[in-house]
Amino acid sequence: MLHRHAGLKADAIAAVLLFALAIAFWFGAESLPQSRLGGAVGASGLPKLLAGLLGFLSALLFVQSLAARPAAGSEEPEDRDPRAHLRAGGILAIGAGVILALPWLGYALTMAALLLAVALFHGRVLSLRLVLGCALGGAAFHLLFVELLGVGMPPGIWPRLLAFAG
Amino acid sequence: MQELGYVFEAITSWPIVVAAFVGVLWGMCGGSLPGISTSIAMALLLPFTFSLDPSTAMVLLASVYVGAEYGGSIPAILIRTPASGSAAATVFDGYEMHRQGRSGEALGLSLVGGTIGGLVGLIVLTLLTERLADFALLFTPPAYFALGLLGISVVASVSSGAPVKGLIAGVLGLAIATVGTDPLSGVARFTFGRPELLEGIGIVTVMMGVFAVSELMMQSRRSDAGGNEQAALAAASTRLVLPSLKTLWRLRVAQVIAWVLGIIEGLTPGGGGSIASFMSYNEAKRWSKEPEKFGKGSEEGVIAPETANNVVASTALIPTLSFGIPGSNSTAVLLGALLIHGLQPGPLLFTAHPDVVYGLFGGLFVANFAMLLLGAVLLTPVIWLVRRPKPFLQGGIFVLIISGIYSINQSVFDIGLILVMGLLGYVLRTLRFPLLPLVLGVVLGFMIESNYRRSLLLTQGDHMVFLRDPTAAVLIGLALLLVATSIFREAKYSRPKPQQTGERREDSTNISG
Repeated sequence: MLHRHAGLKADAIAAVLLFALAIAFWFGAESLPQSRLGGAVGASGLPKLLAGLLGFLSALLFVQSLAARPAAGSEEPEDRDPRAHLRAGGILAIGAGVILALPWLGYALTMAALLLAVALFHGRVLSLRLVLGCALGGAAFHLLFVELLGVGMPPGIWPRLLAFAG
Repeated sequence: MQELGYVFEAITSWPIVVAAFVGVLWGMCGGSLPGISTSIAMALLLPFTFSLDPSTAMVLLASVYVGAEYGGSIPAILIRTPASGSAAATVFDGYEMHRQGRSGEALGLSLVGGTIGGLVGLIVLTLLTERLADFALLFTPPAYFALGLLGISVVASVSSGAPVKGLIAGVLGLAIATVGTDPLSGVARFTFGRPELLEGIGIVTVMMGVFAVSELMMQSRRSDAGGNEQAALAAASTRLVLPSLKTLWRLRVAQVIAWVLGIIEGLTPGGGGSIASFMSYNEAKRWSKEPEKFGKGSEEGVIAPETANNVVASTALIPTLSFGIPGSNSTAVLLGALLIHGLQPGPLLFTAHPDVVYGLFGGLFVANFAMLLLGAVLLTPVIWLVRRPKPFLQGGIFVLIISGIYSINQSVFDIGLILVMGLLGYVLRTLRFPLLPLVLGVVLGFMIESNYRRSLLLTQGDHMVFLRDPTAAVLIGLALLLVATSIFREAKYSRPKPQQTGERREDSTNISG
């Protein structure tokens, strides 16, 4: 019974947030500059229509969440576990770390660090073998994307350091 | 008959055969790497074609196209990361089959379905190019708008069990598509002053975020995070399983639907593999004897979109060669290669250079068989690779996602954007919103809005233009029919049958997940 209510509550909260998003989207569209090139509908036409639709549908979802009875088993236990969501957020935190590290460490080293971070995140014990494996992984991805496909990945501070040392 | 002679000459010419194999191999590798789109894979080979004779050069590039269209399905099935829009519809049942330890079966279905689809497209290309070419000219801005509506009508069907949530996801997708420079006036919309957003949020960014990053997050929720599932997968066979003739016969309806839709979409410049594969998925479900299996590892759900996008890989060449209208970035690269070799696309190409045109068709026949052979050899080790222990697999997938997304614009901002999309996908999946309508909205948003407004601009705001244009009127009628059928089916299924309620709810859950 408690689980059912949790599912309904989540839908109701989602509906309220979506309604707020619809209002924000409407005002965002309203503030768009008008252009004579925009034609009969203008640049804000579709966004306003979508904002209206989103508002209507989120109100409908809210009503539905009050009236409907979700079937048992439609939720996973992790859906209501804050620690599970935190663990999922860990992946985003690692990704944010990549954004910070990439311009400094360069592509190969950052990818090696990313492989290591994900392995440690999933419970692998830090060891020389693991570090070497991740370093090899970083080198392999560097070979694939930079050397073979010619993608201009960030070199990091190393070329500047080498130039300074030289 | 002379045309068939050119085709035969190409099939028996070593340089053409080698070009077809190399092109397909390169295309499969490039197409399977997220971010390295078909057009990039083709463009990377373009400089190497300068010294080749025109026939071999065109076969090499067209084979990359064929290989890449197939290659996109490999990460879609194995790691829930569609490398291109045309592989997005494959994710739902392909990845579900992978989770059930049926990766070899799913990849086999997509390989054989894709090969047969490619050959069907090629037969149409060879025999009917000159006759079907005029079809492309029927598409005016109102018709493109109607085509977009027809594509978006799929939302009604793929949201079965959760129609309101499906519609909300579709609206969110369309809203994401409005970010960037307005297609008509040039006004910047919802860019928050970031120049990186002026070109909008890319389809690949949205797909990789909501599918792949959210999947990494979902798998990380448990501390053993899919460890048991991964162990079960590791124990399952890693062998590629090609479908038997009996299986292919059983899946004939889904394939025929995909052939027809693939041919129509291929003829439509700009229609592309994405709409064809989404619509084929939808129609295969609609006409299936077992629609309840869709989203839970349905064979039809894999073979339909995969067949359709490979049909398009061949038939998209019809407007490109006949009128010089490239329907996609990939065919634009092919068009560029034609011009580099001094060949002017258009009706005269068929009479002035039949050796090149029909040599290309012959080379594509070889390319489709090369795809089958190379797929049969290469896919078993690939399946083995994705069954490595989860910490290493997840790390590898994360590196692939970040490298792929960075390589599109060489922008760190895009990495941030994909994480935001991942969070959006995670929230929507947790709340049981279906993701397919969201992706459809993003894929079709620009096409719908730009052609709607262009049509109104041409007619000073007269909406009747959509009914006066016969192609648009037919397509809008079809869209209404599809929506009405979906609503009717939904109403029929949701009649009080208490024991089925849970099943339907689960169905929608699986589609979303």
